[in-house]
Amino acid sequence: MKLNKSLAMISALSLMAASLAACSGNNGKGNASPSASAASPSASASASAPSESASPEATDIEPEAGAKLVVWAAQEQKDFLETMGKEFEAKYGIKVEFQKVGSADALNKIVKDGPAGVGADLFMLAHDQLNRAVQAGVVLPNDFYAEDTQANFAKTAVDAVTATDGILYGYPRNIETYLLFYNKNLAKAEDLASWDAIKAFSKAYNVPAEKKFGIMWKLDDSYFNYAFMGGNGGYVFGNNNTDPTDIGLNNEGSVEGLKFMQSMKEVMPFKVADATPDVKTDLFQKGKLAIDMDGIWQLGSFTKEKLGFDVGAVPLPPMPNGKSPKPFAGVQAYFVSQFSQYPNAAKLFAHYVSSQDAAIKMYQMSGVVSARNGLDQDPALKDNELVAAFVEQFKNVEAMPSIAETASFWTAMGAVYPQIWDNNADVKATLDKAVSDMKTLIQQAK
Amino acid sequence: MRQHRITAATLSAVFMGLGQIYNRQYVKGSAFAAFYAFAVYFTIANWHHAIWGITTLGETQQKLVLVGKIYKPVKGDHSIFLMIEGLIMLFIFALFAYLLVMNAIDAYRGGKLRDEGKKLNNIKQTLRYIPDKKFAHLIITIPLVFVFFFSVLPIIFSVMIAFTNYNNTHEPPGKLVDWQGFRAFKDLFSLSQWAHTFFGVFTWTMTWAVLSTFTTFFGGFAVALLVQQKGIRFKSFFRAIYMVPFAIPAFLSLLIMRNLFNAQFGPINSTLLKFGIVGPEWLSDPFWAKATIVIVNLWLGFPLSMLLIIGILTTIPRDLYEASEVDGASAFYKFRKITFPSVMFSLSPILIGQFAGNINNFNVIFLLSGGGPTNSEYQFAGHTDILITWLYSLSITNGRYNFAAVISIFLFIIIALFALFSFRRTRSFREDDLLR
Repeated sequence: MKLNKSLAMISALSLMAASLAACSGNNGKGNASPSASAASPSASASASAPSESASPEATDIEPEAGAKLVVWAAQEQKDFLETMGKEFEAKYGIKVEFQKVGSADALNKIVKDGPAGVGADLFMLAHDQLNRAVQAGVVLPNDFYAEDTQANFAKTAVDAVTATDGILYGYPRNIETYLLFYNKNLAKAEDLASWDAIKAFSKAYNVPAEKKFGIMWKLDDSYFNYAFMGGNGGYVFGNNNTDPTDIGLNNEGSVEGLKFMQSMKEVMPFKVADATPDVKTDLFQKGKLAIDMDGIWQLGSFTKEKLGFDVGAVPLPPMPNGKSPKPFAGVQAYFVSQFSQYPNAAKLFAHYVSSQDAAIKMYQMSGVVSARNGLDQDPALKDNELVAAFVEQFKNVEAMPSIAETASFWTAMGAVYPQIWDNNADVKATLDKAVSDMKTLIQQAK
Repeated sequence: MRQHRITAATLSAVFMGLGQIYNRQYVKGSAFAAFYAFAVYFTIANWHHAIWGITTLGETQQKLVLVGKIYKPVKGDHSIFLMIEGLIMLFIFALFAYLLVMNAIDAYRGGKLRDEGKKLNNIKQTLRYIPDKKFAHLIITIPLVFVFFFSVLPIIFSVMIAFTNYNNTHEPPGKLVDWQGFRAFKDLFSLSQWAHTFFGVFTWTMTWAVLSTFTTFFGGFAVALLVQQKGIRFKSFFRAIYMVPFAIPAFLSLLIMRNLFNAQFGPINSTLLKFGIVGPEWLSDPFWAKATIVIVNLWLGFPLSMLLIIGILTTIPRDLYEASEVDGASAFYKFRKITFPSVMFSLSPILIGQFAGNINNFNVIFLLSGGGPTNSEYQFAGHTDILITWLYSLSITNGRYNFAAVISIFLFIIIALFALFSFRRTRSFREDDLLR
């Protein structure tokens, strides 16, 4: 065939179409069916509003008859949640299914799956995604148990899961922050008494050729670096991180904080991009890194059994000007989906897994310390030195901003650290640029 | 008596199937008429909602209502669902219109046969005629439906997104999305920061596509020639060895490479240091980061080219080489005149395919450098970001779906134009017969 191929293709297509017309009856139906199936999910979602409401006197919300729940959480929570699910089923007759969707992915997934009627009833989110979740209309307020949550959980946690509209949405699980872990074979507690002490210790200890370093943290991450700015009076957004028109990242405090961070370079002779969490954790585990700034999620892996040496932890010590860095805190919380067919049962389960008994079981099974008040006095946790250090650190933390504009903060600040660390750029000028970038980004999202 | 075709076609155009019935194809005609009734009913039932949905993208916003102590969600319109449903409906309406036209043509042909005094197929013959003569068309319908729903529809959908304000502050179901015309396009090309990022990223994307395609192709070519040399023993052993990078899942080797190339802590620079060489900042220096990516991609990509080229080398007739040796051709001359043209004849379409693929080579960039080192002059992009990774961070990380859609339109146009243009120029496309 000497025909031009594309022409041949087109003529073949039109021939086919012509022959289709001859047998059109069944073909028309074949094309019509997908639209019907696309329309059905919304129909099933709208049919989901249950009518009964619980009596206000009852201590527990009345779950819907025949309810069954799907819960999204990270793999580490699987054992705990499945155990709780079995207990819950025995008590209320409601089956709970665990699905592995971590809090980082849950929002993007529920936005798509929820309206289609296939999402979870209950899922985990970090509190900094709360306002986006509220805007996107995917979470139900924590209404029935609001007083209970407010009374029994740390104020930091409750405030963090309350959206800017003043409504409490989440059921807090735990607060996450970071502090200094140290290898007790290499450093003593006195070496971590202040940042000057850390510098002095590192100077004596560092042997770059053998990859021995005094202190490390993930240098490209505002999550960690913010501590120095926040501790000196810098802030992300004004009015408790709710006013996007007031950005405090280039004020005097912020500049002073990052200048101090810049000064740490003398004992941390590596580039921002090279200080990856993999490298850092690996060096700490091998006993080469003495002091490791890392988060509470390492509690389960930084144990004597796993590392072979004793690990200590101290809250971030004061900087040379006497002020202590103020680390970011993230609050992991359960949220009930607005698309849940059984919202009452979901609320009941969220409450159930946040109880005092559940909190102790969660600590035993997954090492996660609940944000409930007074848990640090519980004998199950009291003896753990590392947990005690975190409880101490929690007294001086700042919840990450959670308004939708926060994305601009992470984006604009990401470019700052390589500049000031690798290229010794002027801190004030770099931060001014970052703040003006943030303003542009916020403007454009409108 | 020459007017049957006009009458039949007109009848069918007015009411599907009437022309066929007029042509005395009663079963076919009534089947058409039944379908037409259904189509008209379906169109009337859905027209208003579909048009309203796709033009307004919804009017009621979802909200929560406080009932006693409990908040009850009140469902609103889901803009994106309305858009997709409207799109599907429009396609179905278009299909109805198309079938109506085809049915009129069919009636016209039937009428023409009658005018010429020929007999028309009865229903049995029609039913037998389709699988007999139109079997290929029947079979291709199924993949065509799939292509339509899984390729064409999503492409049109993403083009439509580019004209909305769909981003993380206007996110359904909580918020409604609105049409806003060319605003995203204007922003992308007129706001200096976006335009600067776009052109910077675009330039690197094209550079990267050219470099990566040529390095892997000629790298593979060189290795293939070496392995196929006459004097080489254990050929299959070498072939197997060189296939190893291809056999390891790419994402695994990329994550390993990322650690190998760590300038401070990675084994590559430690080894170099032992020889007294201070290694470069592999992934934190903008130039070296780009070089590293090209090098790693060469390592990942050459085995495939090598394998293909070895395959082609074995098909080149030996007598060509023997004849040229008799004429006293040098090794290089033989390569230039025999080997290279033969390989290029078979491989140039694949080369173009690889080039287009490299424009969208997400894995290598994303897993190796993550787009870094950061470029403070760019919006949401780093020095090594290519369009597709930028698109990812725009849409997934930063929730600017409309901007991502605009960029994907440009990506689509670039790749489509390039592929079309180059494929048509390759000899193996223009000529079905062998090279001369």
